[in-house]
Amino acid sequence: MLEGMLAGVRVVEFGYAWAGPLVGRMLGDLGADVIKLEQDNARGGHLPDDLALRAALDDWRRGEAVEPTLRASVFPEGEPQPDPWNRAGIFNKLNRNKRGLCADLKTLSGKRIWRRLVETSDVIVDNFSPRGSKSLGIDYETISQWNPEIISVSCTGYGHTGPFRQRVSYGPVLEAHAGGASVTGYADGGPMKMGHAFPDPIGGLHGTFAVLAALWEREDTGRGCFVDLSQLQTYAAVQGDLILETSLQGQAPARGNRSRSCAPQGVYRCRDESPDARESLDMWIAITIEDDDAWARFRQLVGDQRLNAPRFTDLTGRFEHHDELDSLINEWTRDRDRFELAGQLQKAEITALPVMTNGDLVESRQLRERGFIVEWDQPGVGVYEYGGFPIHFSDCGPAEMRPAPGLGGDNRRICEDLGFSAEEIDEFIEDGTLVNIPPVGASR
Amino acid sequence: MTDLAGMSGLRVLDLSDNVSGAYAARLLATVGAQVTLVEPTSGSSLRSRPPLLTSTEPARSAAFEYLSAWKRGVALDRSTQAGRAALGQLLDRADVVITTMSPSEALAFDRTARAGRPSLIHVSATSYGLTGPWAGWRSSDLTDWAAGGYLYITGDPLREPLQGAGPWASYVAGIAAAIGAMAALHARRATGRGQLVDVGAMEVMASAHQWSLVMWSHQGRIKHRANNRHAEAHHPVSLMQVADGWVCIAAPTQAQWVNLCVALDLPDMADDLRYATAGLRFDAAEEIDGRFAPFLMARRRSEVVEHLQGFHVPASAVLSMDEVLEDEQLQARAFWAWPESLGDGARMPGLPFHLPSAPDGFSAAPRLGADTSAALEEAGMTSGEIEALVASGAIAADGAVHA
Repeated sequence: MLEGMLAGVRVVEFGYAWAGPLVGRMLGDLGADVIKLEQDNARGGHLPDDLALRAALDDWRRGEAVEPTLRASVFPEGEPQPDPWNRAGIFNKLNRNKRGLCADLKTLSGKRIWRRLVETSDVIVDNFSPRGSKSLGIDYETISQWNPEIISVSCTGYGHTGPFRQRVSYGPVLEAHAGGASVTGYADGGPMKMGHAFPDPIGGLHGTFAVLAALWEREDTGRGCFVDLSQLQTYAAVQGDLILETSLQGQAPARGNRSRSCAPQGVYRCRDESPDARESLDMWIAITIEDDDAWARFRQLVGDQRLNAPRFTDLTGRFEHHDELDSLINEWTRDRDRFELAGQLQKAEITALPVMTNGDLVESRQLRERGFIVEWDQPGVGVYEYGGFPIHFSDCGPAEMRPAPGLGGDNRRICEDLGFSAEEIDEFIEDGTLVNIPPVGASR
Repeated sequence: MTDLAGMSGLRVLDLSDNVSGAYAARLLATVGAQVTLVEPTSGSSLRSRPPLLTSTEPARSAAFEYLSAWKRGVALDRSTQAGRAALGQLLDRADVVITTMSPSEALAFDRTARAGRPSLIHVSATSYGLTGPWAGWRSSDLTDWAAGGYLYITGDPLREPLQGAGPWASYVAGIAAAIGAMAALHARRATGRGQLVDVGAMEVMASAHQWSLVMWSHQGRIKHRANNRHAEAHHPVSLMQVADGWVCIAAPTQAQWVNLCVALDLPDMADDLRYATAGLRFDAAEEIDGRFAPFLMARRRSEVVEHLQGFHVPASAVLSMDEVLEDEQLQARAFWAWPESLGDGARMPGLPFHLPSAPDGFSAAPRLGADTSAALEEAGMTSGEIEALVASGAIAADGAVHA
């Protein structure tokens, strides 16, 4: 069981958006006791009481025009009610294997709860700015006095020092700042952003690694530490080779889908499909021909005499005539099924893969046979499939999947674990410190 | 080996020849583990991976130089019995070994390496993992993008899907492999046992999507490409043109949208019901961008970014890599390492984050076999034995054998 891997480690994750909560999820999947600490408006709340939006919502329920506010939340079957703050797929997928504590840290009771959390935990994960963490009293200077063994990992955009430390950001902003957008693009176009906020998972995974290393080190030294993790830096770190190249010989031009070392390589059109029964979609295959031997195998498989022209024989020629090759290959792939084609090419020892859609990933035999696609019964939502834990351990696992907590869903139990009496907990509820529904009008 | 000696007590052998394994090992080195790169006597294939640096003769790989920083280097020939025996002696002292072999090779290696070494942790980093119908399929940086689902959703909806410009799927798998190594070490503390950790880039990338997978499982919808916008629900979270290039502006929340409209001197837009939610704004993106354009096209990147940040709207210039190297935030945080041997001005990212156990200073990627002698001496070989292995070609050692 993965439960054993981090048994006895308590983590308080006080994060929002993606990077911070991902650290919590990874540690929770590995068996740590992760308490997700939230403010009452962290998940948004009641839907806007507005006629135009109501009408749009009805359209959404009919499966026609999609009510836009609700798209990114990904409610099951598009149904947000009755408690949208507990039903968003995007929240629930990111917050499994955690317990939920919703507390106002600014009240006196909230401060007592926070201090008890710090005293009894091993790790605090946040992604608040330096200013925000000081004003909430969650900064390392404060909490390390209460618990010198505490490991505090703050996953901010820019870090806690430097001239831009107070800047606000999201993943795509950091992607732009770290150069990633400027190197990505079609050869004839401008910069291009990635389809998701890629710096977030990169920051969150680095943060997870940092926690595990800091915990290991603590066994030796007995001391905790503060990890000032800048997602700008962790994103730049995965571009180390390109940055080093640039420092000596300038930035290489954008090259679309081509390789620097081999040709042809590209993304080629295959037969269209209608996976969601609403629309006909473009489908594609990615192909890389690594060397002359692979090129020979490829020509044999395709059987098009035009590919045997002498100008394509060596690598230099294939680079020079890449556009022409792309047209010929597209002709061959255009009406074929991308999965069958990839199978044929791989069988002939040619590197090729269908360009997987989000639907393909969930339905993928490869991912399913590895146990990556999991399901759980999310209270009030039902049984749905999700992406699981991506690391396999021969001696432990697979990770158990416990549903994401409702807002404040474990308030009482967590406060009991922290040693508060039933009377004290009743007081926390009465004075408004502990809540389990968002305030009316809360919006993100 | 003792599990109480902290990070500096951990010994890692890096047998990898792909970016995933090499980055996993680099990460372990950046938090203080002793990492030894074990290459064939002909050198790791990563040494010829682009981009190539022409400042040195012969040209060196920027990828290898970056990924191998803080590692020691041992060169041995695993096709010889003596080479395998030397590797065995290194494995006897190792806590973690990282490989990037094909599934059949990895499983055979696992049986041999962990036989008699019950506490050894073997981390395998491949494109598809060691099991499943695609295990052992061939891969490239491009097909890694295709497999993990980022390719389909990046780029122009009217053109072919677009890869990211670097082997970033492999880097992401590398971080997961490093997490796997540390998690297995924590488990070993309780059980005393090592294990095989199997990481595939496809799976790690599939887990690194924001809402794609639930969009299918909860609603049966396919996620599309949206060019430089953040489909399907937010606007602006996008790259926009200004007078001297591009900026990224991200204002998905209501408060940020209102601030943005005020900052751009378009307060009427903040009250316009047609733009009342992030998704309505996505549907009206062309119109919105058209109204923003006069303000943005009259100003330079730095002006726009400082102005918007003043209104708490997340924004940054789209920087070229040259500009990243000059960025004042990264300089102020002492992010850069200076591998002087590669040429004047050579710079690369140093530590991604700083733990107390991090190594002091920078140490450049090893020359082929630079530490063969030292590592085998530590493992108990005499200098005479090492010289004999060099003479037989089973190992390669750069420089004199230590007395």
